[in-house]
Amino acid sequence: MTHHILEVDNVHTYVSGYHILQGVSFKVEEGKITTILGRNGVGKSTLLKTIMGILKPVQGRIIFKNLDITPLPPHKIINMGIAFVAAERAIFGGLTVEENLSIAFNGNREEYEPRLEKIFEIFPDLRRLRKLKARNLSGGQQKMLAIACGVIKQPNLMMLDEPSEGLSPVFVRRVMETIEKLKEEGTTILLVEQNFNAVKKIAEFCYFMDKGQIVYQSEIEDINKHPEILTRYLGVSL
Amino acid sequence: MLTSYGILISALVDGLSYAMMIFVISAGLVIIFGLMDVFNLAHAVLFALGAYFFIQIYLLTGNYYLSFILPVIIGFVVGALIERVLIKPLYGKHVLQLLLTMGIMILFLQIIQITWPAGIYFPETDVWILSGTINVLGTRIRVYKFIVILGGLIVFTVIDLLLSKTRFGAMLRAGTENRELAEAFGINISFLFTIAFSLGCALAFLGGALVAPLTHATIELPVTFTLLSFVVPVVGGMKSYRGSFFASLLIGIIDRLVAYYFSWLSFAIDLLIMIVVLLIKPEGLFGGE
Repeated sequence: MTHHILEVDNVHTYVSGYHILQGVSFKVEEGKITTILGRNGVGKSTLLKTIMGILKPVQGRIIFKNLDITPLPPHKIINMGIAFVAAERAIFGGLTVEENLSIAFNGNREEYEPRLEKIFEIFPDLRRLRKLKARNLSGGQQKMLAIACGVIKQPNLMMLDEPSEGLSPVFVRRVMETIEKLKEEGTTILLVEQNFNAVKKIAEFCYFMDKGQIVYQSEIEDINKHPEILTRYLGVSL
Repeated sequence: MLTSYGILISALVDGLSYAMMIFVISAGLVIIFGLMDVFNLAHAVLFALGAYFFIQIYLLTGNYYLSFILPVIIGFVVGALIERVLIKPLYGKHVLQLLLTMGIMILFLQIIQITWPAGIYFPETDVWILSGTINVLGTRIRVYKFIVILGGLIVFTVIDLLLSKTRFGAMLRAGTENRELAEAFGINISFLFTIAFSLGCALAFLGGALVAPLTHATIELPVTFTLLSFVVPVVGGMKSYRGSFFASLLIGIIDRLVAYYFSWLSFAIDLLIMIVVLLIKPEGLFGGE
């Protein structure tokens, strides 16, 4: 039986008076990698911020682990088991690598060192860079640190906003491999992207967003059979 | 006989104690403005209230430590109440913050004038540290000025350690840099801001309590220090407590030296220093840190 860890039900969100999310509804199956695809400006980042509680919808509900999290403040939502990796400025440049990880960690103090050690096993580059200010890392290293800050929480659901943006193909591959590994370890992944090629090998289900609404949904394999969908909603072809 | 070296030593000790005085008051403002972007015009009045409470409690109890600790606790609680009830709805609205904190400043000034219409003076005591003097190169210097200097150095060290070595400090710095991201990291920004504002107010009260044996508590206290409490962060860099420390040293020492040797200039020297620094480095000495 399919269990959905996250359900977004008819959510409407305004930003600075603009109606950005116009009745968004979708579900994320537990243990899978779900992706939401769409062009710039369709409301993908607004959707993630709404789920996290940074923006509040004027209508609709967000259900996480069978609980209505719509009215909750962001820190309570995050500490229920969601991690979020933003598209830009996803880490604190003025803090060191280790300080970023320290404030991202939300468990008991005695669990911190073992979990930090695990992070350094997954992201070995971060071990030697731990005392460096995060602003001095390369773009790819900053993205790895941002993901590590999500992983250290051991979330049930990890949401990533355009993780491939601004990265070289090598780093994109590394990021996607890391995401796939997280999924294999039991983390549900929600990927928001406009780059289909970056996610097509790892995503299992996808939604397409356009003008603040979910306009299409399908298994990833079906996209290969209907490439005109990419042209229609992303303006690209396979 | 007062030697020229004695006068210089006296001026330097005066300058250092004055510097620590203004550092402690401006450190709280750096935390409030630097972290929370809240323009608090009432800050100097809170500093004055610290002095009033210190002297009043000392007159009632005769206990220096109680007289010192209680105002700090009161300052923390007052800060928490102000932040939760009044400041919270106005984040990001600077003009309204200015008006609100101006109102708080006027209210507290009125309360001070009603409660202590003639001011309140720290009594002579037989406690050497509080009222005694020592002889330095023929100059008699109040021992308590060295206590103020030591107190300021301790405050600087504690703030430095708190902000740079603790997880709490890392969260404060994170919240300064990017509030939305801090929320996305699971940090309870609302609670953090309350703590930060309360800490800033407690520092203001602490500053007043620390200096009260030297300055006494009169209505001139908040008037004098309102301007200085903003000049120091502007010179040092609005978001830098280290900048405030070094700016306080610069302003405090120069101010006292000028008062001793060029008294005709003393009324304007602080502003002149600010103007010179802003012309050379508009973001402040440690601005951008």
